[in-house]
Amino acid sequence: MKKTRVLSLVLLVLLAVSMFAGGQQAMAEGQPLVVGVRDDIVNFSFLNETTGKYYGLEIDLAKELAQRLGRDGVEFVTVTPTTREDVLLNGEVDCLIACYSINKERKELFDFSAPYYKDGTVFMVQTSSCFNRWADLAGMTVGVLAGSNTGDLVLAAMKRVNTAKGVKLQEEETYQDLSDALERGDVDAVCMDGCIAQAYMNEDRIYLPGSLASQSYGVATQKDSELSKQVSAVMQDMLDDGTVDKLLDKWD
Amino acid sequence: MDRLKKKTLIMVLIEVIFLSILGVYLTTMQEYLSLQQQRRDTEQKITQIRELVETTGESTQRLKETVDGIYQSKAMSLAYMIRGKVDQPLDDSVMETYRQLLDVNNVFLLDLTGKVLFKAQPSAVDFTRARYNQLRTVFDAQAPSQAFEVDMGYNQLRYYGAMVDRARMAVVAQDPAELDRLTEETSSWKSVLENVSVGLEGYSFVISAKDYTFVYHPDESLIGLDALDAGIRVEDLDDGGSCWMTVNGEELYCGVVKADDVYILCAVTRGEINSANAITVIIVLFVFFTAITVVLFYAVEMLRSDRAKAAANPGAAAEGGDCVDFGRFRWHKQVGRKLISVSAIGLLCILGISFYMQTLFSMSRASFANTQRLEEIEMTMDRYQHNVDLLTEQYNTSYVSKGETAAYIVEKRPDIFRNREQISILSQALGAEYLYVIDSTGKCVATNSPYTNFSLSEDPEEQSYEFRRLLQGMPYLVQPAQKDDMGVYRQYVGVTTRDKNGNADGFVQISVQPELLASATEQLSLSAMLQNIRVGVNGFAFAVDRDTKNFIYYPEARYIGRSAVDYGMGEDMFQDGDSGYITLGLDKYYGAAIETDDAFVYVAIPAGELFGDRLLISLSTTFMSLLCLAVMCLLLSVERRPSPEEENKSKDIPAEAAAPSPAKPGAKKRARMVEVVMPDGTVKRTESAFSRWSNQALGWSEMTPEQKTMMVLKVLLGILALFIVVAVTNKEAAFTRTSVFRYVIDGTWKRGLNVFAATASVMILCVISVASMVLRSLLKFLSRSMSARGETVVRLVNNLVKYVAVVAILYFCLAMFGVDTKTLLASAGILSLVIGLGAQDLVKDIVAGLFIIFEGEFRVGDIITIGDWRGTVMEIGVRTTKVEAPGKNIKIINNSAISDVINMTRKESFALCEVGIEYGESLERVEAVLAKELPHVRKRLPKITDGPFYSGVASLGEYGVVIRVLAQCAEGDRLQLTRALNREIKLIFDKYKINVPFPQVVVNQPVEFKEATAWEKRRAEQFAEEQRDLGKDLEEPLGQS
Repeated sequence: MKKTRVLSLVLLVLLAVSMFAGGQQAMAEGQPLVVGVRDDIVNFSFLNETTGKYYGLEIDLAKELAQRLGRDGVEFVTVTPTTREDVLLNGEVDCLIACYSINKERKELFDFSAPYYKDGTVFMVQTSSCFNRWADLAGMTVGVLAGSNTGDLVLAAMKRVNTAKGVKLQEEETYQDLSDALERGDVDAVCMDGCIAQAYMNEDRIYLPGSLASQSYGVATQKDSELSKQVSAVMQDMLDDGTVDKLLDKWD
Repeated sequence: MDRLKKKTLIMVLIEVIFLSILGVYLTTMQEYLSLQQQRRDTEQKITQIRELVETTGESTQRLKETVDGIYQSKAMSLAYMIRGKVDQPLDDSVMETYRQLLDVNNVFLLDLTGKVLFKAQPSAVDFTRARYNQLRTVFDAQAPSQAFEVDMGYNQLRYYGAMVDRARMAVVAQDPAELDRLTEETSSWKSVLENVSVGLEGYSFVISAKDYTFVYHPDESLIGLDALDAGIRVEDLDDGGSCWMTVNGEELYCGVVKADDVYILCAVTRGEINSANAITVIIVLFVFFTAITVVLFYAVEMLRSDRAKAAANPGAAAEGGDCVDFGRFRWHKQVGRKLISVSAIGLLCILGISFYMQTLFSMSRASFANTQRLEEIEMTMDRYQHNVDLLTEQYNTSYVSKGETAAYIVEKRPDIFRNREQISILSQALGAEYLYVIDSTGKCVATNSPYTNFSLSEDPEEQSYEFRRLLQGMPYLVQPAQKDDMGVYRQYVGVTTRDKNGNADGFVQISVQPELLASATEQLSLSAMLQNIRVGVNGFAFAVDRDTKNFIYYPEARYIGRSAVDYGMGEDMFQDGDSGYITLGLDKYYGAAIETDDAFVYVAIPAGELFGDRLLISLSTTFMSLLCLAVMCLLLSVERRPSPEEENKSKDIPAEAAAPSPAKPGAKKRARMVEVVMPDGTVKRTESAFSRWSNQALGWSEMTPEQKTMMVLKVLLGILALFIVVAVTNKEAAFTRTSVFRYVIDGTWKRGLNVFAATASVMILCVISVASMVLRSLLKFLSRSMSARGETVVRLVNNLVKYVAVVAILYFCLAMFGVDTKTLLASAGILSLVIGLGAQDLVKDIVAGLFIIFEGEFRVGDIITIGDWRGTVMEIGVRTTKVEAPGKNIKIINNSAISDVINMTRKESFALCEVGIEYGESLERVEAVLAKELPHVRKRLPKITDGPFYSGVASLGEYGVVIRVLAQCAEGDRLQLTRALNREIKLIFDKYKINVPFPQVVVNQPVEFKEATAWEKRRAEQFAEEQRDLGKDLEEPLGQS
């Protein structure tokens, strides 16, 4: 028993080493890592139009990742929730670090690293609507982002609070559109991930207490690619040695 | 000699080592202390900014509430007008009238669900949406709704609702641009932080906590750029923390405050923190260097001269009189003693100067800080005032609007005003305290006030008189809030009512109690503000009334209202911009003052806080110098005892070879160094009086070690002085605006006996003495190529420059120390009178001196006789003249005492020889001899310029015939030549056997005298009597004539 366990461990290590070595040989080391990122999520990945540069947690993560992979820098490609999957499938980017939450359906399409950020999905409403709980949304219009899984979450959540009236869903292309619709009163509430909602929060708005679902963001890579293993190994390293925590702290 | 050189080299090495240690130590210490100080300052600044953000938030909030309140009251007025059926029937055009009356963007009448019943302006807003739920709260709350804003993209409106009745509500919509402008004015980062002074050249900036971009920065081009790119590290952005940051390559010490979603940073440049450090360190190091170098130089020179003496006099050295032996070593007693005394002086200098520098440093810093705090107080006052002004303006506008609404209602529905209850309801709806309707005669016709029988006053002094202007057609009048006739703080606003033709037929007056304004005014009070001012760790702010000199505010409440003068404050402290020590009770504080409209505001920090750790620096510097000096003294005065063989060897060396004798015998040059015996018997070398007054510098080799040391010291101090002069004249380039020295030069400090005055005096001293020194050396240089008269003038100018410099230094320094020099100058007339009486002699001397010079009675170098004193003029001073006698003694004569001068240099002099010959001698023979011999005399005595001449028989004397021989010569040679001429004549006379007569005494034998006989005695008596009688008559006429 013991012997086999040791043996298997040795084998595993060897395998891992050979994989690493092989992978690194296969990947052109000098090439930059092409990463799909968002440009509108403050503190995660935000394009500063004045400087033309991206900033945020995911940007720092991507840079660290590229460095640890031995790549020559990072190249950022702006993706949106509707385009991000195609872009990765087509191989236009090596990976996605774009507030891309891990779920079952997506796992079938892509490989995910260990999650680097956990977040909740929330309702955001205008203070002037005098809403303060989920049940108040009965019969109201809720705005969700097109191409995201939030719509399903909203419907599930409204079922939970047991309202007969249900809710109407209204899809918008961008978070900014969602926010504008909320401001105008076209939608009575919006539902989005906590970190994103934070960017659109202002003193005239509140979150309704409670989270619809918890989301975990991971680095997505093409299914079964060489890079997948490397990325998940490096991301695991970064989680283990506290790099991710440090970055989280930086971009609190 | 070799050993001495080696020793010197080691000493220099030690000096360099100590110098660098001290340099590093001082730099680090100063930097550390400055940073410490800055850290404290920054912490304070952080607290201040936090408070500022808080109060700004509050005042913005208040402003918002005020403005919202105004519009809520408009909504209520609207609701009242609809409910009260002021206009019937209601339609969109009436709504438009109301909109114009209320001066808002739009007004609506909605039903319970939000359906628009009437509207003033077309609008696409769907009030039934949940977004507008806030409006519907009016039905439950029975109060105007909270304001909220909706940005439709094409327009932005703020909505206010008020209930009309159970089924309807009135809604007022207003573009918040005006509100935004007001809040921007009071709460934008620029307006908030612009007035926060951080250090002297520091500033505040704001970084977004969301995306780390610059939200506000004094340099506007940076706004929007990424702060992380500029060099700020996210880890450093820690609320309440302070540390070094780099922003665009500039090192800043920043304190961080996190407020909402931004970081506010207050930054001070490294340059500012260390501004005074470099110069302080340099000066202390320079003093250290000077002291050590002087000691070292002195010791080496002393040892060298000792060696030379010992070598010249081997016997004395062998005795080793001034050495104490310690085993293999021996201690040079005399050298050691002298060194110790010089070291002690050096040490005192170092202690004094480093302490002085630290004092200067900390005091100037404290002054800066205090001034800055005062500026901040001033700015805070301004800001409060500005906020109050803004509020007042808003209120006034709203009061006018209320008045207009009331006037509108009065015009439309005069019937309402017949009912007191109705007036009350209207007054409540308008948010006014009382409503008065005044008719065209100025009499109150309707009011809800208890003061019903009211009419406008006829007395221009009275408050209500002003409202008469409304009756003449002025549209409205807003009186500032004041205590009214009833003694209540109220504000009155009147709006004219008009008849159908548009003529004024009275007015509506409303009264309000401006509580908010009153509270804002309260907040503006000095006491309330000073309470919140933080001054250093233990400092505080206080205020003194300008007229009564009583405390208006003091941290200890029991002193408020008491006299500040009784509490120890001097009269000189009551002035704007005063900065210095303040005595309060038993404690001493360092503070500064500003003058406001009716008070002096002070900030004060305990005097003890001023120095803190700085004393430590001076003490440790001194200690280090002590160490260095001790090591050097020991090494220099102790040497290895030479072994007996060596000693013998050194004895064998011939004295001449060992030391080149400094005084060459027979040298034409006069020895300028002379040995003098002091009263206590010691022999010292000193510069001769001649040398001191002569125009030439002393040769290096002629100097004693003391003189050489003094010379070195002079050179070093000269360098320092020159350095200061350059720095002072180029103050813009040499010092930054925050530098201590700049502060001293700019002279904004208080004149008096303080460290700044001392520093300024030193600077003045340096500048003036360097200038005069340069001028004098120029003059000295000129004098070399000048005639005697020129030199005289040069010397005089030289003296003049010296005196003027001294007077100028005195004058300016006294001014620095707070002496009123203008009065001093003004009283110069009286002064001169006093001098004229008290210092007559001095004036006489000076005037006499001037006459001597300009009349050319004599010049430097002339040989003159004053009274019986004959000598060469050395110097003609302003007060005295120095004359050197042939014996090298120098007589100093007051110029006024110079009279009966014989100037013997002006023409050729004569050496005169008068000699007698016996009457028996043939005069012709003598003349023949002289004729033959005199030409030879001339050859023998080359000093004779002409002659000698035989000038004939001078007299037929008592003892012989006196003949005279003359020889022309220079006055300087006259005496010597006279003697030489005498000698020659004597030799000639000897040669030709010519006798020179001299008084001869012939000695005779004494004669024996005979006694008179008795008969003879009798006969003689008879004769005498007989003769007396006979001659009696003859005498009378003689007596009468």
